This record gives sequence, structure tokens and C-alpha cells, in this order.
Amino acid sequence: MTEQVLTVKIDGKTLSCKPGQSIIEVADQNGIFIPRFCYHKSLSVVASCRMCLVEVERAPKALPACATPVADGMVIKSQSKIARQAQKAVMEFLLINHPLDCPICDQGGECELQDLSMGYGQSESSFYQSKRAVKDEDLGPLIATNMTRCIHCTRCVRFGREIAGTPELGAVGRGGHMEIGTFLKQGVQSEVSGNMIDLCPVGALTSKPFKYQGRSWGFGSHSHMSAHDCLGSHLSVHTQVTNVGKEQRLMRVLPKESHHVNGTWLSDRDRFSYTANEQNRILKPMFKKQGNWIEVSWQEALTLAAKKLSELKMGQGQLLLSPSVSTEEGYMAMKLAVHLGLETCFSMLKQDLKDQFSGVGVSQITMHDVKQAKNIVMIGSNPKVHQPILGLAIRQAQLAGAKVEHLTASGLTLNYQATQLIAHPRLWVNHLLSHAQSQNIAFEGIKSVNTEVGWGQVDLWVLGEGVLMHPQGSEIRSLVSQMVQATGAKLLILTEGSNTAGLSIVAKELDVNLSDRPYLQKIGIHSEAIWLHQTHPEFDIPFNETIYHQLKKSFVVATSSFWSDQMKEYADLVLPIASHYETSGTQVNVMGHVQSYQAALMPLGESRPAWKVFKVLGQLLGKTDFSEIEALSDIQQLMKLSVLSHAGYDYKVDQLRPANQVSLLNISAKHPMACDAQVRHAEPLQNTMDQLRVRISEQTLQSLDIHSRKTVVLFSGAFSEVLLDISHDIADGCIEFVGDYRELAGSWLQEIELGNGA
Amino acid sequence: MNQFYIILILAAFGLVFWLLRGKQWARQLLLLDFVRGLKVTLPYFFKPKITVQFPEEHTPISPRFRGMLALRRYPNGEERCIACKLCEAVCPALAITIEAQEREDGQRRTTRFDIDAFKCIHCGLCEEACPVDSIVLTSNMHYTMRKRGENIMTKEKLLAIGEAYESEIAACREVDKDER
Repeated sequence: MTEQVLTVKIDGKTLSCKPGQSIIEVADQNGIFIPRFCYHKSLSVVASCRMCLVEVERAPKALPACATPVADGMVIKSQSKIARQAQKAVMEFLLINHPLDCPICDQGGECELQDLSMGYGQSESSFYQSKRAVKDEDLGPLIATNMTRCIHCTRCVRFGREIAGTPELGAVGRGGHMEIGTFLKQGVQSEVSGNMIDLCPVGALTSKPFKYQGRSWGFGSHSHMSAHDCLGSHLSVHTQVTNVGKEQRLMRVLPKESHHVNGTWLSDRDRFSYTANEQNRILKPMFKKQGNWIEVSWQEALTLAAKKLSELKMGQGQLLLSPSVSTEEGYMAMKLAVHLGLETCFSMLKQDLKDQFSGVGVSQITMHDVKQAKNIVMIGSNPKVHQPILGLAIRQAQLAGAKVEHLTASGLTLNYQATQLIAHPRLWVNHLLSHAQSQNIAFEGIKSVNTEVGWGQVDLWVLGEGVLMHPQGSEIRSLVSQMVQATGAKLLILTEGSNTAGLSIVAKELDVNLSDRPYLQKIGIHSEAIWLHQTHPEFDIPFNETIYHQLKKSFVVATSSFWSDQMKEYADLVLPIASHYETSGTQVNVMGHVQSYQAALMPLGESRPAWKVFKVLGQLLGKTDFSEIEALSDIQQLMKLSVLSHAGYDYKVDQLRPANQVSLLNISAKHPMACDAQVRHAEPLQNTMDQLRVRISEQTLQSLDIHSRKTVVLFSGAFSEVLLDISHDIADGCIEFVGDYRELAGSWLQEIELGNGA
Repeated sequence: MNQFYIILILAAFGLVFWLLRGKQWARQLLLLDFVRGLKVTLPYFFKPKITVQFPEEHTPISPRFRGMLALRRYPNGEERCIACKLCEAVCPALAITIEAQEREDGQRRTTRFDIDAFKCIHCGLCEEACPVDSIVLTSNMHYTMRKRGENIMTKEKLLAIGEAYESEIAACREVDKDER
């Protein structure tokens, strides 16, 4: 069937369009501007602002362009006398109650109302009564409000309802008494709430961390990538050059539209992590001499690092590498590590990488595939919290009619409808096997199990952070990938860190074995020197006293952007490294997109891009091939990142290892607001966390012989007495931390000991 | 008879002038330029004198005179500037640097307001842009900088100038209010 093509005439231009399109869509496609406030291409149409009124021939009065579908032969005039008169009248109504506080409004200079009032407003109003005022509401640490400025376009309300799936804002009252607010005064908790700031056409919702910081007209805009989830959202990083001294400052981060990753949205974590850029930074190379930190020059620091590292015997040192650094940095670091005979580890929570999982899924999958999926099974994944942009895509798929099932150890609060199968992690493999049996898929050498799993024909599997940190992770990945190959479904394996895929690919190329490292036991036990790159072990790996003492004993070289309190105690030499926004590089996201970015501003203080530091260090250590590297592009040519053939996954598990039996299993994943040093230093994000509580089921408490019902005493980790949250949708034998549990990072799938509290 | 001679002499002069027209030596000989110059200067000899004893006396200046910059306060002592950054944006010499933050009471205020007096070209666009009549150009044109760095007029300096000149600034604005 050929698609019908309609012909309309807008402002004298003859245009062809599809049936069902609205006038404003056709106009936008053809570069004809129609003023609007409430219309947004990603949101539903409400036609409440009436700013887009246009004259349509043979219509008795002006019609809203956003809500009027085109008809064949329609003649539309957006500039005629009737249209202009209607638009001017609407503008006058909108300005009746809008305060004239543009000079102190953060939206000033990028305000849609300000812009349009230049074109359609009149300098005088026929309204002489006093303007209304609306009380502000506290929406949390990220969004600043000034509701008097609101023009009731309801874009924020529709965003919450349609895109984020968390209808936290709503409109109360009618007409002149209409107010936008939260009904329950609990603030906005959504993980993508920052998008409301972008959507708000006026200054009613503005960014709290950015409040009064600058003006949009003074900023330079740089394209960049986010480094806090494995999808890598596209960013537009705004920097300001001050008139004095030409110093640059990172002012704010906005989303950059990209159809294959984040669309027009951005998660709060990616949006507000920039606030950390000047917090607690290492600004000069420092050396610890008899317990005191002294500043040294780069020359001295590098010579010292080279001397200490070259004294090592093979296999007596370790490199702990953050999975969120750029591929170029990782490549240089790993090359140096190979040269020095250091073992290389990713600084992630305990992982089972027996299968040499490289971070990129079996089939190359796109965001479009996720949105088009019909039956999605998510194992150990909470996308709303850990991968917010993926969460939005899955929500879209669900709204389009997809069935979503979760296999999880505790009930998730999701922003879409899904069935949740709550099971203890050690049972997950059994559930997979029984699903395979119901679909008549057999695995060599593995007996099938009979339990009821009604997942049906799955066309998208998502393996989340729960699988990544699962002791049987390799088994789960292997079984799912075999099912995927048998059924032709798609598979998405999420990773921790933004560039696990890219780093794993270059690791394979350099023959660096990243696999199967239970470094909880192994890290540094025999190491004389430990090199930490952008890593704070106390937050980034399963951490305990033994590791801390080992770190204190070894010579620790830290190449890092940020200090941490404990680092001052265990590190011996720190080299300041440019932060993520000050670095150019390449990232490979979990869907296999290779994406490069340029530094948005100059490194702070004396910090330098990591690849330059590694180059000089390599030269000092006698690595001759580093002297040929002059620019980042030389590294890119060396590492041949375009070869994504490594991404294939062909591990087949032949026998199942038994799941370890612990009486009380910690199932909380690494805190999303503690995922890397940049996020940990971003104060507004840290303030979004609630008080620490533990979730546990009634049966588990009884089996542990704990009778307290308000608090429990925690024997492992940094906390003693914590609030108790007795929940029925958590698997027996499991414990989950909720709220601010940053300090407990690394205890995933560890045994936890509890005692009686109040 | 006398009249006849007078006419004859004038005619003879006229004839001589006509014959000597355009001749440089003749103009010099007859001091014609001198006479022409005296026609301009001589009246000043009889006009009233306006010379003032400069450091003690000043010539009057326009209420629109554009001299040193200042920041004003409201009569209750509150600074006017709201950190809208319009002056920074409009300044053609990029002489103004502003940093703003939320004050404890929630108001938008500057934490830094620097004007580089060497960059400033006294065009007065900042004064025109200011929505709260905070930044103004005063009548002060006699200022000196003796050390490097003194050219940066900080917020404190500018507010101090504003306080010192407030009565004069207010008077100038009163005179000129219909034109604003």
C-alpha cells in the first residue's frame, strides 16, 4: 500500500506531508516558524497555551497549529492579520500574570516567553490590576522553583506522566487559579527530573546548582559524552571564559540530541555531575614524605614514579583501572602495565569474568530495538536507577504494548508496568533453565530444571548489574546467549562504568587478561606497588581492612583527578589527572557505538591529560615506542578501535558451578550516586539520597533470631545501627540497603551479619 | 574737489589691488592676513573672560557627562545591582566581569563585580542597559592609577564611589529624567 501524500500550503509554500501530521509538525519540518509554548515534539498535544493559533482558509476562526491535523489542500497562513492578531492577544494574556523579573531570572536570555514577547508582545498592557503570586515549593536539591513565573504550559506535568513515568507534578485549580505543584509535598524524586528544567519555557523551573551562576549568552558550547552509565549520553558542555585572565569555568551540562542514545533527555546523574569538577581536586603532584604531603614538580614526581615502578619484579605490582576512563588512557595504561609486568584489574565490584565478557553484547543492538521489543526479560537489572536512559526506552516499549518481566532479588519501584519474579540470586540459573525447557532449548551437559516461569517467547534479554556481580555471572551470560542464538532474540548486557566495552577490546588486543579476578582475596596481597588510575578502592571495589592495610604497606601511585579522605592515608605519590570534562578521548558504549569527544576546557591547576602523563612515564621507563606518540590521534591509530570483531561472545558453560551458600546475602548494587569519583563529589546529587535503611523480609528476621522491629545492628561495614524496613517483596535470605549506603559499596553478594537493635 | 581726490585715490587703490590680486608678496606687504585674523581675535579682547583657576575652580559640565563608573545603593542602603549581567554583555570593551551567587536571604547578588578602568571606554552603554540604575557614570574625570592592579575597580571601590557621589548622581538623573 503506498502511503498517501497530502499537499498543503503554508504561507504561500506548497508542502507535501503525511496524513495525521499536525500543522506545526509540517511547518517545523519545512523551517516555517510558528510560535508555541505548550507544544513539544516528544510530548502529547494539549493545545493549552493557544500561542500557535494560525489562520486556516475556510475555517471560521484561528486554529491551534499543534492540534489541527493537516487536510489535503489546506491553506494555512501563519503571518496573516487574523493569525498575528490572535497571537498578539494570546501573548497579552500570558503576560498578564508573568512577573517582569527577567533581570534576576536564570532563564533570561534563553527564555521562550522572552523571545516571543519580542516578536508578538506589546509594550503596553490593558490590564491594570495587580499580578498574582504563587508560593514556591521545594522540589529537592536539583530543581529551583519560582512558580509565579509559570505560564501553565504543563510540559513538566506531561513529561512526568508520559516520559519519566513518575507523575510527581500536577496542576491544581483552574483558570487564573491554576498552580503547578506536587500534591504530596514530597519533592521530585525522578531520576530524570532535570529534563523538566529544559522543558520549562519560562523560568519557573530552573537548575538549583546553576542558580544565578551565569547567563546563557556568555557560554561556549562543547560536545561531550557522559561517563556515568554504559550508554554514554551525548552532552553539550557549557563553559565560560571570564574577561579577566581568560580562565575557563565549567558552568553546566545540557543534553545534546542524539537519536541513537539519549534522544533529547538526560539523566540527573549525567546532568549534575559537572558540579564536582572543582571539588576536592588534586591540583599539583604530591609526594608523601614521612607522613606529610609535600608538593613536588612534575619532573620529580614522574622520575620518582618511574624509579619505584622499575624496581618491581615481574608480577609484583597491580594496576587498578577505572572502567570509565577513555579508551586511549586505558590503552596507554595497560601498555605500561604490560611493560612493567603489572597485573591489570578493573576497579568494579566483584565480577565473574570467566567468560572473558568484553562488555559488548552478542548482537549489536540499538536503542530503536529496545523501543520496538515486544517481550523483554530483565535479569538483575533496575534500569530506572542504574541506567535511567535505558529505563525511559523500556518504558516506551512497555507503553507501546511490550510485556516486561524482571527477575530480581527484591521488588523494584519501576516507572513502567512489569511483572517481577522475586527470587534469591542462587535460584536465577534454575529459572533460566526452566525457561529454556519451556521454550524447548537444550544445553549440552546441563540438566534442565522444572519450575514455573511464564516468560513466553522473549525477544530482548537485558542482563543488569545483578548479573555482572553475580558469582555465577558467566553461567547466566552463557545460558542467555545460547538462548538468544537459538531464538534470534536480542541481548543487551549492561556493564558498570561507561567504557568497559572499549577498554576490554583494547585489553584483548594487548593480550591483557582481565578475566576471572576475585581480587577481593587477591588484590595487592603480594603487591609491592599498586597503581590506581582514577580509582578510590574504598568506594570502587569490595573493600575491607585487609585491603586497606595492604594499600598502606605497598607503594601506591595514584593517578587521579579527585582526592578522597582515605587516599591521603594510603597513597604515597599522587599525579593530578584532568577530569572527564577536561579530557579528549573515545568511548565505546555497551551497544557498540564508538564515540569520540573533545575536551571542553583546560585542565585545572597543574593536572594533565592522563595519556600525556603515561607517555612521559613510559619514556622514563625506557618504553621507546611511546616517543612516537605526539597526539591523541596517534594512539587512536595504534589501537585500531574500529575492529569490533572482538565483541563476539562464544563462551559455553559446560557445567554449573554451585552457588555459594550464605545465610544473609547483601543484594544491593553499587550506589548509583557513588558510581565514580566525579559523581561522589557532586554535592547536589549526593543530597538526593534518603536516609539509610535496610530492607529485609519478616521470615529472614525470624530465621536470624532477630526480634527488633525498628532498627538492627550491622556488624560489617561502616554503620552500626540502621533503620529497619520490613518488606514482603524481597527474597528470603537477602538483605538490601536503601538510601544513602555509599559507604557500603563493595559488599554486594557478601555475607552480612546482623544483630538485635531497638 | 576733495571728494574728487578721495574717489581718485580709492580708485587708484582699487586699481592697485586689482592689479596685485593673487600676488603673495603683495599680501604680505599689505598685512592683509593680519587684518583678517584680528577680525576674529579683536572682539574677544572686549568680551568677558572665562578662564578658571583649575584645581580650585571647575568649568560646569553636562549632567550627562561620562566619567568614572560607580555602583549605586538604594536610600535604605541596599545595593541596587541584581547581577543580571546585562552590562557585562553590552560592554564593547569587555571591561566588566561579574560573578553571582544566591545571598543568604535568597536574593540574586554579585560576589564579584570588577571593572577594568583601563579597558573602559566610557561609552555609557552599561548605564543604558542597567534595569535598576545601579551602574552609572559619574562626573569624576580626575583619577589616577599609580600601581598595576589599581585599574581593577572592585565592587567595594565602585560602591564607595557611588556613595561619595550619590547626591550628585541623583541630581543629574533628576535633571535628565524626562529624556530617559
